[in-house]
Formats: sequence, structure tokens, C-alpha cells
Amino acid sequence: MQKTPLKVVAIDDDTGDLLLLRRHLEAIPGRAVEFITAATLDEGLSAIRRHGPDVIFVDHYLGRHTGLDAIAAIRSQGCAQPVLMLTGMGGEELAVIALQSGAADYIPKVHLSSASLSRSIDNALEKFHLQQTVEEHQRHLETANRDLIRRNEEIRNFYHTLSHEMKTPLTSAKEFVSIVLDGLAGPLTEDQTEYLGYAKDSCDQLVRHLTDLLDVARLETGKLRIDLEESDVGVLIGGVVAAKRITAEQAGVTLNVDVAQTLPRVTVDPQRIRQVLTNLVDNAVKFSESGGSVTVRAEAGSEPDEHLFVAVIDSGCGIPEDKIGRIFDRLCQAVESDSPLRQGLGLGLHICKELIELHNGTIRAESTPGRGSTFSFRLPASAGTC
Amino acid sequence: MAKILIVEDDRKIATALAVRLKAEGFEVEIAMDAAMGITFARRTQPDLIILDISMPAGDGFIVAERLRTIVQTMSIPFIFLTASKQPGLRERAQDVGAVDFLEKPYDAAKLVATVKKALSAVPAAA
Repeated sequence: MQKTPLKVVAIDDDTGDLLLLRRHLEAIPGRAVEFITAATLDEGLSAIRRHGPDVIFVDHYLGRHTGLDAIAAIRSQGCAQPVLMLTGMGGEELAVIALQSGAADYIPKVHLSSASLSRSIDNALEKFHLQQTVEEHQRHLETANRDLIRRNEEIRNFYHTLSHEMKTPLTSAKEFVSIVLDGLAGPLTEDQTEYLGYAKDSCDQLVRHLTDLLDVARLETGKLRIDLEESDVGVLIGGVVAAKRITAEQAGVTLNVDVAQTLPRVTVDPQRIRQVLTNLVDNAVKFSESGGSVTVRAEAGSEPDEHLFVAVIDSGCGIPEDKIGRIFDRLCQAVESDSPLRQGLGLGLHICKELIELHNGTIRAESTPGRGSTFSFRLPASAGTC
Repeated sequence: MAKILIVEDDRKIATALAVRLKAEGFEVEIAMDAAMGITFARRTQPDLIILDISMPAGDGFIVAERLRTIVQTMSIPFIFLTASKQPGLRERAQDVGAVDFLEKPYDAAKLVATVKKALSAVPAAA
């Protein structure tokens, strides 16, 4: 078997020792050797630069230099190849120092043999190879990590731009439609009022979708934070139900509020809890048929880490069994895509779950298909604790 | 009749705000950037300023901080208006003395209610 010769630079001021080393190396079976010698450290360094050896042998006693100086000098000129240290004397202490200063092995000249050299060289090369591989992986990981950090930053900036660039035109579209609809630009015919009403509804729908999309983006980039303050969830429920009352009446759905007289106060982000309540009440009304009812219930929690319990109970169509386990998943839709009830991006409940969990709370869904669903969440006294 | 200064770089949104507020009986003036906003505020001394946060040549915070250092404008109440949901923005707005904070897209009824509340809470600049 023809192997590429092993290129060796040996630095030793004793020509006899060099000759001996060469003989042993050349006697290693199956291993061709290109043997380059140097009598001083300076000569050795220049030979290393010139030849780029696979392995370097250094005598520990090199005139005014030690083998340790040699290793430091070799490394400082950028050569990472394994260095094997040879010495005329043994001694555990020297061996430890040699290995600590970066020698791949330490071989007392008295123990020199083809077999021991072969073993040391193989070990050194193997170790070197592994180290190179590890370092290369490390470099790859570092590069990949830097790329990911940069891309994440780009995505964040993109969402920020997207948010601004979409909200600004949407604000003016929605508001000018409202201005005309409210008669601020002159009287309207009945048809104009009706059509502009549709345009306004569409604008409102777009605003809700955009808000949901941006919330999901913020949740995914870890940018969504909650601004905590002591809040009365009863008041929040009152506000949400009042805002929804007309829509519910139009749908023939009765909205009930069943809030305990003395509701414990909680430290939450009131805007975000209102968002969750709005979403749950919206869904409940949407999936209830005319003649049905939706009840929002709130009471003090009954479990140790549950300070407040809120449930939105509807008498709607319920959630199919195969969907209920995934109902809080992103993009999960409770109804099939051809259903007239299908509306929205499938992000609402996912956002609810994430928001409640940001408050260290829990949310769950229970349903009997055909009889209705109950969405409930539990909050600790303060979102900061627990 | 209370006088309101709108500092907003988007012409359409500035116009929409102006139409809505004029319909409520307010006198309205528009400044399209930070520098104009500061000059107008100093010259006309409005009763209230609606201040957009994100503007290319000097944001709403810069305007707010500057207004606080000018004798003629230091006590004029202002409301921030922004499309940004950056965390901590509300706290920053409070820190520089904003009386309220409106998010874009804003709701017309809420805008009017917020403006009226801001005007009633702080006595009009003398």
C-alpha cells in the first residue's frame, strides 16, 4: 500500500539522536517518512514554515532553549500540527509540563522504538484530526449562529416596518370611510350609507387581522411583553360585553354576565386580558345560533395557584372531538373551510393561549358537540409570581 | 373654541384627524414635521397637541422634550399617537409628560373622547 509519506521535522542538536530517530521512524511498517532535520530552534522554525510538516519532534534540551520554548515558538508562528517531545531524561514532572504546554506526547529517548513512535504518531495525528474537526464544527456553528441572530434581527425589523407601512394607510382608509359615513363630508343616500358601511366593516376586519398577525409575529420573536397593573377583571368583562351587545342582539344571542360580587383583583396587563375576553366572547357569539346564549362567568379561584377563574360558556355548535385537542394551535380552525362560520386567520385562540401563559395562567376548552363549548382561563394573583 | 395642533408627517392621517376634530367644533392646525410642530406650538400656543411618535426628521419624543423647555409651550398638554406597539412606549410617553396615548388605527369616537378628556383635565393655556 503506497501512503503519502509522513512529513516529519525533527529539531535536535544531537546528530546521533536524529539518526536514531530516523532509523526508528523508517522502520515503522507501512509508513513512508520524509525526514527533515534542524539543529537549532531557529532552523527548525524555518523548516516548519518551508515544509509544512505533519508531525514535529522537538528535543527538550536545545542549547539555550527548552522544548517548551520551542512549542510556544512553533504555535506563535501559526503552526497547529502535533509536536512530540523527546528527551534524554525521563521524569513525570517534565512529562506533565510538556503535555500542559501543548505537546501531543512525551517520549524519553531511552524508550524510543518503532512501535512506541508509531503509537505516539498515530495517537497524535488522530487527536489532531479530531481537534481540527471539532474546531471546524465550532466555526460552522458560530457562523450559523451569527447568521441566525442577523436574520432574526432582520425579521424583527421587517415586522416593525410592515406594521408601520400597513397601519398607516389602513388608518387613513378606515378613518376617511368613517368621516364620509358619519356625514362629515355632506349628506349620503341610503345606498351610499349601506356600501360605505361594508367598506368600514372590511377596514375593521383588516385591522383585526393585521393586529393578530403582528401579535403572532411578536410572540414568535419574543418581543411581545405585558405591561402589568393591578386590575379589576370584572370591569374588563363589563366593557367587553357592552361592546359586543349590539352584535349579539342582531344575531339573536343573549349575553349574560355572571361575575361574583367580590372578585379578587389581579396584577395583569388589562389590555391583553381584554383582548383575550373579546376574542372568546366574539367566538362564542359567532358560533351560537339565534335563540342561544353566551355567559361570561368570573369568580375567585378554588385552587392554590389559581386566584381568578373566568369562563365563557356558549350554547353553540360545539367543537368536533378531533379538533378540541388542537384548538389552541396556531392556524387551527374549528370549522371546515367551506363553512359560512369560517372567518379569520385561525390565530385568535392561539394568541389567547400565549397571552394567558405570558401571565403564568392556564387556558382550556371543553365542548359537547351540538350543545356548546366552554373556554376558561385561570390567572394567578400576579402574572409576575407563580 | 379650543385650538388643537396636530403634528403628523402623514398628510392623509393629519387631514383625517383635522376633519374629525373640526366637525367637533375645534380649531385645528397641522404641522407636518417636528420642527414645524415646535414653531407652530410656540407661535399659536394651542390648547392641546396631538403628536405622532414616528416621524422621519425628529420623532414625537424629541418634540415633546423640546416643548417642555420652551416657556410658551411647556404647559400645553399633548397626546401621543402611534402605530408602534413597542414595549415600554407607554411608559416613555408618560415619562415625558403625555396626558394620553392613542394607537393607530384609532377609533374616531375614542379619539374625540380622549381629546375632550385631555382638554378638561388641564386648564387651557393662558
